[in-house]
Amino acid sequence: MPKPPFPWRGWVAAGVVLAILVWSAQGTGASLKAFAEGVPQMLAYFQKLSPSHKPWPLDYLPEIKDRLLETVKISFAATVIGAALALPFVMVATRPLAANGFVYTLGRGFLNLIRTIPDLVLANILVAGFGLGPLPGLLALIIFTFGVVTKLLADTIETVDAGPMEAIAAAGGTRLQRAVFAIFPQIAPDYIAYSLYALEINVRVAAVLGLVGAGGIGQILYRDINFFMYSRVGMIIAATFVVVFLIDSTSSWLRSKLV
Amino acid sequence: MEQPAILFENVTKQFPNGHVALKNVSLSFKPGEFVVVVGLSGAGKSTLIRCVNRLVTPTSGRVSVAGVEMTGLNETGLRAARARIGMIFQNYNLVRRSSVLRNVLAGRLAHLPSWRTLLGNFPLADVELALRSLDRVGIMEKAYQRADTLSGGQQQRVAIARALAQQPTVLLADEPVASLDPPTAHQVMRDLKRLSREENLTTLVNLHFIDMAQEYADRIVGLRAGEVVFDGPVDGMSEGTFEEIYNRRIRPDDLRGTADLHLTDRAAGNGVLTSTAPDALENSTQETISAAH
Ligand SMILES: Nc1ncnc2c1ncn2[C@@H]1O[C@H](COP(=O)(O)OP(=O)(O)OP(=O)(O)O)[C@@H](O)[C@H]1O
Ligand SMILES: [Mg+2]
Repeated sequence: MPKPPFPWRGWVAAGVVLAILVWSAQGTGASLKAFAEGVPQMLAYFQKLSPSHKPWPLDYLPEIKDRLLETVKISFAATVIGAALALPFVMVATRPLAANGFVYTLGRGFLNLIRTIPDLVLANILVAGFGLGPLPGLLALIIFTFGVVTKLLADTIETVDAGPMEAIAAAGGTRLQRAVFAIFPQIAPDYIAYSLYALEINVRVAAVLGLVGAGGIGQILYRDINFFMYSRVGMIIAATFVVVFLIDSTSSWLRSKLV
Repeated sequence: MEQPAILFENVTKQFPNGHVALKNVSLSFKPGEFVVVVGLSGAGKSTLIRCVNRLVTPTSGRVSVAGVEMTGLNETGLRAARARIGMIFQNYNLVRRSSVLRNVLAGRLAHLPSWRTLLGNFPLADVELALRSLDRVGIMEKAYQRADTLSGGQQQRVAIARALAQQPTVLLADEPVASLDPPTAHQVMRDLKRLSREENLTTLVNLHFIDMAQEYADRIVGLRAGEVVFDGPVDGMSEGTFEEIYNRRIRPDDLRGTADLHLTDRAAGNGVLTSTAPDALENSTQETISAAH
């Protein structure tokens, strides 16, 4: 009987992961002891937020509703606009559709660049430019959505069946016709799935965009936290949780129906 | 003298990796000729056919279609020339998620203003032409089905309809029946031959199987290692000629088997599975083997 080779690769990988874990725990001060102390404190905090500690001020609901709606609108609009922009841009960010290698390299480079900027940093910069309010938040999420959807779409296009594209080229079709007739129908389900995925992230990010003054529910959350208004904070968190959960589960359900 | 439908003049193709796939090929095809290109795998059949519509650009030499020198065209000129050159592929190359009709309309893309096609706004005349093309290969009733709901043979007919919708003067087919079972393969070959006759279409078909080549070709071009080693009418060709082209003995897998079409057609109707193909294949195999000893 031949012996299976020693699985040294698996052991090396496990060792590396362990080393990284130890190293990063040291840097962040994470330890089991800190965890054991932190959990009760967290529970105590939750206690303060709950309506059993002090009844929630129901007259605060209309403002929460308005701000949450703003958050939802920001994330929906950003998803639609960002995903729409992805479609034409993917023409330069994918090898089979780009006019030449130079355009492709430039397109990919730009894409990678905008994807390295963290959302909140981006929102912060945009607030500096456009002032406080939902507009900079919207712009930040448009850019984020655009980056994610274009990247995923470009990667998908490079794995798609090239046969139909060749057939259309052979019949004298242009680059744009190749994209619209041969590629887009093949990637349509993926495109919708990626857009929904971006929406799920957008709703979460939009909820905290207010931290940098970029509108939405985060803005009043941040204010109430700073003023130690625990009941209000509790209400905001509960309402946000419900809305995010609803959008998230609907979107995941839709995605599971695709492909 | 009549202008050749397709003209190869000293065509050489060397791929970037240094491999020379075509060596100084000169050929001339008359309008309406039905030519089958045979040769072993790697002989350069696909490369030859793809030089016609410049999916492959020759390294040197000239290829002309209906007097237009393909090798000298810019982007726009190339698209205009390709508009009249139909092509059929081994894997059909349909957009599987699109309807049959939309696939056939792809044959009209280079004939119409780009913006109209991109908006999906095809003139009625073009839609009618697409439907008629489907009718000519006998599957008009499938027009609004998704392409991937069709059988392999039906999908290849959609591809033929797409080529017909181009109203081509030249038809290229790279192993059009390699993915089909013998009876379907013969039906598709008959379709191609009939359309070539009806439209006076110059047709260039790559085939692996020598018996099919003999059955359908007017003229056979044999390639070996990128060189034309045979070019002549199909009449009077023997297995020996193919052995010269292949530079080896004919083997059973060089034959598809001439499934008796009338038998199988009728058999499909009354549910009896009849085919003379396996026997015929075995007999010829034995002959070949005994000839080898
Ligand atoms: N893009 C390419 N780069 C490098 N070499 C290539 C390329 N395309 C084809 N070749 C080589 O050129 C030769 C001819 O290829 P071609 O596809 O024309 O052969 P073929 O006769 O069609 O074979 P088959 O019957 O297998 O389809 C082969 O040796 C092949 O490996
Ligand atoms: Mg080939």
